[in-house]
Amino acid sequence: MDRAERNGLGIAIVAHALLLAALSIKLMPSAKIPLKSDPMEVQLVGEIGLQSAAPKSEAPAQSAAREVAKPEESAPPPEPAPPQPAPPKPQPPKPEPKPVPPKPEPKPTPPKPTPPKAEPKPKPEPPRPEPKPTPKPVPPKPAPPKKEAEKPAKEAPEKPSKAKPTPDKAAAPAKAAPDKSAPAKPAPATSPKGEGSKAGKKTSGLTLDDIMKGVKPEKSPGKAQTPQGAKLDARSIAGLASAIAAQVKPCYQIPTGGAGSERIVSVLDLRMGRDGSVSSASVVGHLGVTPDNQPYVQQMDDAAKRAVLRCAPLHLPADLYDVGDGNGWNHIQFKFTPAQMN
Amino acid sequence: MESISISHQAATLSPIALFLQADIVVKCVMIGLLAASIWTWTIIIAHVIKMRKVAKENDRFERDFWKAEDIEKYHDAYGRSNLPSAKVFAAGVAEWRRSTANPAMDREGTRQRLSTAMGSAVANEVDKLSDRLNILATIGSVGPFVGLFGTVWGIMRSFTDIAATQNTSLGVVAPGIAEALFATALGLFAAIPAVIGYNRLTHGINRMEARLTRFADGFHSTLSRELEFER
Repeated sequence: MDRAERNGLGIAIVAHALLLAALSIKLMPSAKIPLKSDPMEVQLVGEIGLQSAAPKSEAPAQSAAREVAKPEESAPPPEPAPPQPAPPKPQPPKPEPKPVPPKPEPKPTPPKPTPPKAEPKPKPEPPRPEPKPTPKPVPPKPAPPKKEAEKPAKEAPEKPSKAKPTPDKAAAPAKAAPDKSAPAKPAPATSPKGEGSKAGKKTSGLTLDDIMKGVKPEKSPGKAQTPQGAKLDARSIAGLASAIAAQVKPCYQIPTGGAGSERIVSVLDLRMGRDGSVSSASVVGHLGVTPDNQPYVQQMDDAAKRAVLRCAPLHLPADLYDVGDGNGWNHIQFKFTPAQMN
Repeated sequence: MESISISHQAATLSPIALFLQADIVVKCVMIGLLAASIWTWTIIIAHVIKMRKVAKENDRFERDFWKAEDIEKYHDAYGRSNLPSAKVFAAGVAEWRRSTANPAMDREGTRQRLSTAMGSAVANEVDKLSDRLNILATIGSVGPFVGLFGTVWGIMRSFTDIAATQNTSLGVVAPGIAEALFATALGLFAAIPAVIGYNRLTHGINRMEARLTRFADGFHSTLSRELEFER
C-alpha cells in the first residue's frame, strides 16, 4: 500500500462516513408518509351513478370545513335573499363542523314525522312538506335537516325554492334560527346516528325515515366535498328508488302469478308532480323475464302500476325533484321488484 | 408493545437502523459490502492520483528524451527513474549494452532481443499499473450477487417470522424485507462504482500501454539505426 492508496483509503472512509451520516439524518424523520386524503367510504348501490360522487378535490378531509363555509358565501351572490341566513350558519359549522349534522335529525324527528328532511338534500324539502301538514313545526325542522356536508348542496337547492312562491321566506328565517340553536346544542349530537335512528323510529312508523338515514350523508369526507348536492349520484338514486319502494310497498297486492312471476322486474317510467303525485306510470321494460314466467308479465306490470298509483302522492326529497339536467324524480325510471315488496 | 416497536422501527429508513435490525448473516454481508465499497473507492482514488502523476511525468520524460543529444548520457542521468518510460528505456539500453559488448554480434538477433526486452518492460509496467484493477472487476461482478444473497437470506428470515407469528400484516413483513433489500442496495452501491471505475481505469491503462509501446517502438528503431553503424 503506497502513499496514494493510503490517501485514497482515507478519503473513501471519510466519504462513506459522511454519506452514512447524511442518509441517517435525512431519512430518519421521513419515516411517516402522511395520507394525502382520508379513505373514502364506499357504499354499494345497484345503480351506476349519473354523476361522479367521488371527491373532487385532492385533499378532501382537511379542506372539508373550509369548503362548507365557502359554498355558502359563493351561493349568496346569485341570490341576495339567502345571505342573511348564511352568515349565522357558517359560524357554527366552522367551530364544530361535525356535530352539527347530527343535531338536525333529532330535532326534526320529535316534532314531526315527516322525514323528507333526512334526505340527502333536505333544505328545500322541509319548506314544502311543512306548509301542508303542519305549518308551525316547519321552521324548526328545516333548520335541523341541514347537514354540514350538505350545506353547499342546500344553498343550491334553496335558490329554486325561493324562486317559487311558497315558503321561501319563512324557510329562510326558520333556517337561520334553528342553525343558531343547532350550534349551541352540540352535546346531544355526539352520537348522531344512534339518536337519529331512535328518533325516527319513535316518531313515525314510516320506514322512509329509516331508509333516508342510509341515504343521508355520513360524515365521510367524500360527501363533504361534493357540494353540488343537487346532482343525482348513485347513492341518491338508490335512495330515491328505495324511498319509492318503501312507500309503494303497502299498496302492492301480490298478484296471483305463476312460477317465477315474482322474478319479473318491471321498469316503470314515472312522471311525477312536485307534490309527489304520479301523473303517469308506464312500463318501459322488464328484467328477469324467462320463457316460464312470460305469461305473467302483463299481470305483474299492472300490479306494479296499480301499487304506485294507489300510493301516490309519494314523499320524496324536494331538492331532487328537478335538478336541471334531466335527472331528478320528476321523471324517473323505477325498477319495481316484486321480491322486495313482500 | 412489540408491534409498536416494530412499526416504529419499520418507519425508519436509516441505514444504521436497518443494519442493526438485520440478521447476523445479513449483517456480515452488509459489512463485507461496505468494506468492498470503501476498498473500491480507495483503489479508484489512489489509481487516479497515481495515473495522473505518472502520465504527466512520463510526458516530460519522453519529451526530454527525444531532445537529448546523447542517449548514453541521458541514460546515466535519468535511467534510474521509476517512470514506466524510463524503465522501458533502461531495459532497452541494458540490452543494447550487453549485445554490443560482443564483437561478433548478430544484428538481427540483437534487434529481436531489444524488441523483446523493451516489450517485456512495457508489459511489466502495465502489470504494475493495473495491479489493483482486478479487485475492482471482482467487486463489480460479485457485489450484486453478494447483496442478493443477503436479500434472499433476509427474506427467508422474514418469511420464517411470518410463519412464527402467524401474522401477515405489513407491519410484520415489511421491516424484514426492507432490511433484506438494503443488502442488495449495498451490493449495487459497491458494484456500480467498481464497474464504472474498472472501465475508466482500464481505458486509462490501455492508453498508457499504447504510449509505452509507441515509445518502445521509437526507441527500438533508434537503436536499430544505431546498430547499422556499429562496427
